[in-house]
Amino acid sequence: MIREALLDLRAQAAQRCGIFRLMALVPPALAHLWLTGAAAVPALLVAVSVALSWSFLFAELRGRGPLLAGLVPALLLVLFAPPESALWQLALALTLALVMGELIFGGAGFDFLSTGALALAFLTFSFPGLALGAPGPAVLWAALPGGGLLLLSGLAPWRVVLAGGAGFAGFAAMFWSLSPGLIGPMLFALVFLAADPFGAPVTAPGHWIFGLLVGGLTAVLCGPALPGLDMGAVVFAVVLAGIFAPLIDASVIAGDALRARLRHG
Amino acid sequence: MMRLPRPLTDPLIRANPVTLRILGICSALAVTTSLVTALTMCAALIFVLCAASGLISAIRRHIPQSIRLILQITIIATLVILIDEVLRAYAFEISQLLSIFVGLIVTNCIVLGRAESFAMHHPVWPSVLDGLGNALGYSLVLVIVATIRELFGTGQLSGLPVLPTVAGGGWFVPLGLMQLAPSAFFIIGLLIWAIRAARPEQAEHPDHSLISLDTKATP
Repeated sequence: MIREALLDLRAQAAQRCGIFRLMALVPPALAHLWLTGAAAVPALLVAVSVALSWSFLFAELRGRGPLLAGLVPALLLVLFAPPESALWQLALALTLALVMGELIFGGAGFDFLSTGALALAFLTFSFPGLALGAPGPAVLWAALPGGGLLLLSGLAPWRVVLAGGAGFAGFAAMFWSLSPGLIGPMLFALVFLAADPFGAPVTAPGHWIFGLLVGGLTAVLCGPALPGLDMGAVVFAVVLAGIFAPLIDASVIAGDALRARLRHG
Repeated sequence: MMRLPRPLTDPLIRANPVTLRILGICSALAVTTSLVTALTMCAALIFVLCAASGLISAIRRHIPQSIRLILQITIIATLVILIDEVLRAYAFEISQLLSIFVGLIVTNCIVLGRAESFAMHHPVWPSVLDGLGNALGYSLVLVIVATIRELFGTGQLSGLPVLPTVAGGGWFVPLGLMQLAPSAFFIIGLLIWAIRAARPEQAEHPDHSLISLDTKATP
């Protein structure tokens, strides 16, 4: 019974990926808006309109959708961007990530990196003065149902999140220090940035390796700054690990093929 | 109006060595953080490529087939050492900025590629023209990339302030990304995109094709 409902949910999510990911992001975005008040409205408007304009332009050029997927990195950018970032900086980072990281490959599903993480990476690399902020507790609580939905529907591979948390905690505890306050922001970043349905690997062993890579790299890049979480390090770890995702998948599949050949001759 | 010879004009845009054959990318990434280094690199490559093509073409009937690559590389390396020494003697600061990349012209695929595919089969003058054309095509890409990267990365052009930066009391915020190597990849990628959009015959056939999303997967 529960199993059937879950399978149905997964089938639905696979068909309506963009809508599911947006639904998961709407509550934290609303909480962010409610907390920041009118100050957050221009950034949100700019991000959404930039994402929609590029999506529409490319849909027009290519003669097909999907349109809504571009809003996911827009909302993620608004959630993580520091309040002092100018509107044109947000627009530029989102444009670069959306066009170069997603749309020129053919849109969401054909890209190979988490577009949200890419937008944040472009923002920090282009303007080194800007430090990404970790979302506050209210936003994190608001993200809980959406994160659960993503995990249940399989759009955010749960192994990535688990392995990412374990890898981060292991590395951080071994060499530096750890605090329970990190659980919320780290989990949020893992579910919404690292466990990207298109950026993460697709094989189950690949999920574990990818998650460990993200978590370990985050701990190493945060380094002595721990237990303070540097979101820039998380984003860079996700992008760096994402580059290896196709290789991880290919190795897992090659390993499986080799094992099958050895077993069956 | 006199038409310029094809070996000279063809490699400028249509058969540009960087955008069509994707050669010489390494130095195109490394030396394009500022216009001055890019221009110096272009001058060095123009000299090496023209001289190498001319020299190799002149002795092409005397080169034994089995050791032709060794001979070509020897000639190219000699020319590169020559230009490297000249740079160190007369433009020491720039040669320090270019570090090993002038020396690495030896391994620049454009030089050996033109020697092997053109100069070995054509007379001296067309070979020199072909070398010049390819070097100019490479230079064109380098200058475009370096202009964009220096202008938007620092607000300057060849060291002279063009856009007043915030640090100097102006309005321009330098884009740190432009001074990092990935930006050169992006700019070259966009150039290739633009050229292939204008000349669809250069576009490669897609490796994968879309399956229609309308057909429901059968359970």
